[in-house]
Amino acid sequence: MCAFAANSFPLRTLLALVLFAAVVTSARAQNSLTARLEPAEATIGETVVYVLSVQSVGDEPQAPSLPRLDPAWGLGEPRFVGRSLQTSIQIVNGRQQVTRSTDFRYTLSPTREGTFLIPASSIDIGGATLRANPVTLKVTKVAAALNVPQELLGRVVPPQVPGNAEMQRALTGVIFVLPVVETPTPFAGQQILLTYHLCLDQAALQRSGLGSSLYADRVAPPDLNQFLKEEVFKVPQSLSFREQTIGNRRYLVAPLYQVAITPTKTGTLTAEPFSVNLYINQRGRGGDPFRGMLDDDPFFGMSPFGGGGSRLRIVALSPPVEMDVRPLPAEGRPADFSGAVGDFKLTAGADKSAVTADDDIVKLTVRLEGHGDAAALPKPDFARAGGIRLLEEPKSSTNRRVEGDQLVSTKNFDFLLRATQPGKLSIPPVSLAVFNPRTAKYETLRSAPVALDVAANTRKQEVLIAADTARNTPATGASGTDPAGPAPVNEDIRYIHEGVMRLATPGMLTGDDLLFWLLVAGAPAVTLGAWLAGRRRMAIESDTARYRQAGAGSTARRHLRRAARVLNSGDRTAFFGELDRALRGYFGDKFRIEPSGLTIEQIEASLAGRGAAEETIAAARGVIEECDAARYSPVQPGEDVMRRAYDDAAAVIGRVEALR
Amino acid sequence: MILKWLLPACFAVALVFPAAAQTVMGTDEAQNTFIRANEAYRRQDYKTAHATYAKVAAAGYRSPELFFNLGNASARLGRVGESVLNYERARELDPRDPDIAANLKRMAPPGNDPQPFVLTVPFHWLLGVLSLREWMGLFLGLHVAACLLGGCVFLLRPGIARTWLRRIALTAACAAALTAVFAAVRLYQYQGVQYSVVMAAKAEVRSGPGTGFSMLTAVPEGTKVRRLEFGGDANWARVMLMDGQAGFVRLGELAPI
Repeated sequence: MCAFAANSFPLRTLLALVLFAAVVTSARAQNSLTARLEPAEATIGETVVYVLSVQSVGDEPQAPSLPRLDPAWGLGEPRFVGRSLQTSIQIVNGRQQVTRSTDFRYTLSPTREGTFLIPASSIDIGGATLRANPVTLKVTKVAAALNVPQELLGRVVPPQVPGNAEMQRALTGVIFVLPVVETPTPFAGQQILLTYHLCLDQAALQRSGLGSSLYADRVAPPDLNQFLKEEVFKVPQSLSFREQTIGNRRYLVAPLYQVAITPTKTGTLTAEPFSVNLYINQRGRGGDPFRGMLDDDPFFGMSPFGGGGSRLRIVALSPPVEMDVRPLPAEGRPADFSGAVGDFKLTAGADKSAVTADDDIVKLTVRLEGHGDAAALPKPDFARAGGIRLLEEPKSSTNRRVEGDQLVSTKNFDFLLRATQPGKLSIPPVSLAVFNPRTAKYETLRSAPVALDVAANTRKQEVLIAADTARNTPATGASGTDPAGPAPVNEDIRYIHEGVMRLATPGMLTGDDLLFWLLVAGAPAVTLGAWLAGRRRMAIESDTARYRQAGAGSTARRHLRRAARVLNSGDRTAFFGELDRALRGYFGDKFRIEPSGLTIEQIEASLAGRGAAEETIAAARGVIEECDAARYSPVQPGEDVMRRAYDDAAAVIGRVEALR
Repeated sequence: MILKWLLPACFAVALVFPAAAQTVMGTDEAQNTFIRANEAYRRQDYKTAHATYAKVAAAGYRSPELFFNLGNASARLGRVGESVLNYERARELDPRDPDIAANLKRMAPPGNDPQPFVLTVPFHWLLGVLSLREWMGLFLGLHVAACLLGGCVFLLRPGIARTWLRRIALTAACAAALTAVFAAVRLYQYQGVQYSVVMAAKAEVRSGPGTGFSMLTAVPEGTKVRRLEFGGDANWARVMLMDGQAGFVRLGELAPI
């Protein structure tokens, strides 16, 4: 037993050590960075893919740092072409753990023969820096197994075959997306065509053990954010293949996508890669081996898992397309150049050649046709001409068509014109300054003038026929003398009105003059005043005594004023008579007693009844007696007596007026 | 204190200001110029006659003879729109002149004066007998007469004279009320509605203010239209044709009557 125990102790220790190492190793293996080359052996001009595989736990990894490559190696700078990501979720010890596998792919284009050790790349994950393994690339001169035509060297990217590096290597140069750009050095503003073709080497596919049926999904055209773009040919449902020999190999080529792009700035601009997922049958593993590539089968929409056989997934890629965009030259730029770039022809034509003045509208169509961004073309300049009037700003329309491998664009401008005078007129030429990228020079496109035969407007002339009706215009006969009798009239327009003008004063009787509205408002005011006066008179006539009583004071004052005038004239009898009338009339009106029979006693009694003071009553009595005495006395009183009597009378009247 | 003098001052300005517009050319000079224009027309120098008539009109003078003769000169020069415009202005001042009516009928395109609704024909006929000024003057006269007669009625004592005067005053008041209706309609036509004449050989009537809108119809020179809105687009005017169709016409192709 002791021997067994002595033998089991080292075993348990070893087991613990192994387990510990496994745990430590597995912990360290959760984050890893590995590098590989696809392929590791390549020929000059062949594109090599440098793949960095990152396995990380937790957050998505950032882009790794690439090693610096010696320019003398001739490998160029690694160019990023894409990445793929796979995520898995595990439950470890009851906790969720997310593991990510990310492949960063870069392309290298070797241009020199040799064996090159590419140093390790690095990446920062989880606070630690991981370093990848260095890889060795062997570059030879002869394209051996890869068999890529010389014409395609540097222009193709090996397809991605996930999990099958051998097949990926075999399919390099067999399936690829080939970008074709009209020119790699366009001018800024020059519209060029960019076409992506899917190329297949059917014979090579079969030698690789692959069938002829091909289906696709997940097409990813490039964003082309650095360009203005206009899709010409979208990815079709069915591909139309044609056979084409490239180098020493026969390919089936089908256009996948075509876009007209216009660079918006100068410098190096890049069109991103085009990628498409392809599914192809593997021979001997199901599927219909007799279905040909040229059969009219839909390219998209088929399930990769249909058909009963196994299919191989291939991601066909195109390389990014670099373009060196040149600026427009400053030399020779016209002053009226507005930025139009293209190889265009300008023509102009009118829809009518014979019109009537001030009547018909002529449509002058100016057509710009050629290679370039027609939509961006500005309106041509229309020179003003005598006798021709431009009615409104021209409308434009644009269309395009593909001729061979070139895009032809057309833009029409419709100018609406009207001739304003008769005669043989000429619509002046229209012009437009453009930069022609084909000749790399500025040009001023100019149309030919358009002849226009303008007839006089006879409808207006008819108005002028015949003499006026009110006057016979003598016509001159052949002998130069006036013919006998008036010329016949056609009852056209009547003759003018001679003599003087009847002038209408501006604003008068049009609602704008103040006097009018014053009269309109004032007349009813007069009526109102007359109505009030009439009512007052009626009131007076219906109750005379009351109105006399109310006006007693004013009547008395009127008599007093008259008495004052008489006083100044010196007529004493008339003065005292007037004064007496003033007083008696006043008391009579005031107390509603007939003045003619009014006695002093009645006055005293009325005053007493009104509550007048004794002095007032006495003063009244005194003045009246003085008036009676002065009127009938043979002795004429003096002026001072008269004035005193006047003042006394006025005072009495004033005091009585003050009574209620 | 200020208000005491403000109203008379305004009153004086209101009387003086209308006359001030004509100080550029005196009345005598205007009459002489008009006579010279007639002489030019008589010797068939229509261009000179037109320019001379236009000079008087530009000085602010309004006269049926002036506008009629200017319309004739425009017609002789083939300017249909201008002739219709001036005949319309002449008719506004003298609606009973047969020469103006005849020439307007001759030059204007058909449809410029559509027939009114049959039941309103007498009203429109009577309305057209007098000009705005005549209706306003008639209304003012009847109104003042009615008010003065009414005042006299209130001042007179009851009797035969008062009775007859009251009847006359009531008649005058009724006539004034009726005349007020016609004057108000005329005033609305003068101030509330603006009519214009198409001056272009052919004006397009579109469904909106711009050439991007569909074209409804095209009207010839001399067509009378009614302006519906003011303001808005600076280049297009919303109008109604005499047949009731509404649309938009280029503002530059219209001239207000």
